Amino acid sequence: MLLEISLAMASVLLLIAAARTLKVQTSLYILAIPITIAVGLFIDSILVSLYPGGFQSLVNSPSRERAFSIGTLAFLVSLVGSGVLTGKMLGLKSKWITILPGTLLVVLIGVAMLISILS
Amino acid sequence: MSLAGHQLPRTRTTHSIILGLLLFAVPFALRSVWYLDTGLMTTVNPDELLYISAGTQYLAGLWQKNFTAFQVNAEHPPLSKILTALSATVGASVGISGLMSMRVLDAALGSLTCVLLFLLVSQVSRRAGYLAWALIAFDPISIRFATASLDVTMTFFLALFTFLLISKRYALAGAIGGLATLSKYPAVAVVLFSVFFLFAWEGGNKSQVIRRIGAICIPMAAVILIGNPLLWPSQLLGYSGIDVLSRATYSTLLGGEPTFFSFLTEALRSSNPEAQRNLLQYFGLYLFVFYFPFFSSSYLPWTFVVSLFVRARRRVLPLPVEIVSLGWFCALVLVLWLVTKKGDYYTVSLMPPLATISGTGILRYFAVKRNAP
Repeated sequence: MLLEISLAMASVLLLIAAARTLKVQTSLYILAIPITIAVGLFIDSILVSLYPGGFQSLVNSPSRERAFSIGTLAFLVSLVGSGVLTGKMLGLKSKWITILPGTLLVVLIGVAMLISILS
Repeated sequence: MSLAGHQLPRTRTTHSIILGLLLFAVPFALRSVWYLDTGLMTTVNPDELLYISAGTQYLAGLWQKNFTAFQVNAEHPPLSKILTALSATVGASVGISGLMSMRVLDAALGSLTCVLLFLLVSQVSRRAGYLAWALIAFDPISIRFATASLDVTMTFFLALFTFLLISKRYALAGAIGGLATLSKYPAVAVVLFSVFFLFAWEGGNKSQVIRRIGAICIPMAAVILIGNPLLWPSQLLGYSGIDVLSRATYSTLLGGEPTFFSFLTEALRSSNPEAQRNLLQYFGLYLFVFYFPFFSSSYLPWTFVVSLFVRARRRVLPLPVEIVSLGWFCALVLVLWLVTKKGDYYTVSLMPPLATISGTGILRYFAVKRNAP
């Protein structure tokens, strides 16, 4: 739990620094993060339900690597799409900024997994 | 004052009362018909009996100042169960069973939520209010799970909290947010997110924002501390309420479906590389593949998603009521994701913000289209 909290706090500080550098209204930018993730999960649900056999079939797939790859791809697509959607909805100035919350979340998860593997 | 001038306020009041009764009666009738049509009159969910029993014990414990009663079903806060027990007591006095009284109460709270949603969204426009009301009143999930007692009670108080927050009655909103949390704990995330979202969106000078946050959080904290005996001092209870609460919450979280944290924790503990790799893959799978079960059960998730796309395309900036609803939506989605709760009935509390954003989105889309050059 300490690991997750530390990484979450580090990512928030990183995002604030990025927002200040790119001259974006910081509070609006921070607002974009949970919206991006939540809407991304929603869109992810739709994509997962398109898998033949639906969600249960994907999770119970005999090939866990395949299920993991498909799930990760759906999640990434959803998050990036959600980031763009959120940015436009909140009127954020640069299109590239809207992708940043989703990208940083992926980086966060990647770092958490890397630390898990190394430890 | 002329006769017409004297009659006008009274006529308006009468119309308002009739409208309010209709807005309540229609969803109440739908939920009642559902109970009758599906045999819910005779089907019993074990949780319902547990909540009636727990609530009755809480009332007896408060009356006799024996607070050990609050150790029963400690993973959920007491308010909804106490209201259930009170309704059962009132029902018993007129010959209605405890179970039926509980269901009437749940249907009434669900219907009142519909009315509150109308009042909330009417602040944008009357038509949007009617549309949001219709979307939630006829929502299949809200009707089907009208007996999800804790969630329905929490949703009612959250709708009232949102209405008061938008109306800038911050202290009262905070107190109602406290009551929502005393119905079910995830409400605290909804309240905090809603407050953060609204003030981050509106901006304003720092001292004003801090004062407003204080005006909400202090009454909320006071209501929660006073209203949940498990948070009272151990000298008063005769035991540590915090310990009881922690154990009950921990076993509830572990007893359900594994979360991605549990796979990560096991991976960290394992010394076998093959086992670590498997556990990390499960961690990734549970993290990235989360399925909301309601896309095939209701139209609201779809209207919500379409509404978001349309807004983004037309660059329609959100209004305060929509921002607060987004906060409610985000808080619950993230809570359900983190604790891996996939049961259908958990989504009952997600329906009001979906209805709000869908209702306002649809009306504003057509307004923008009409005014486009």
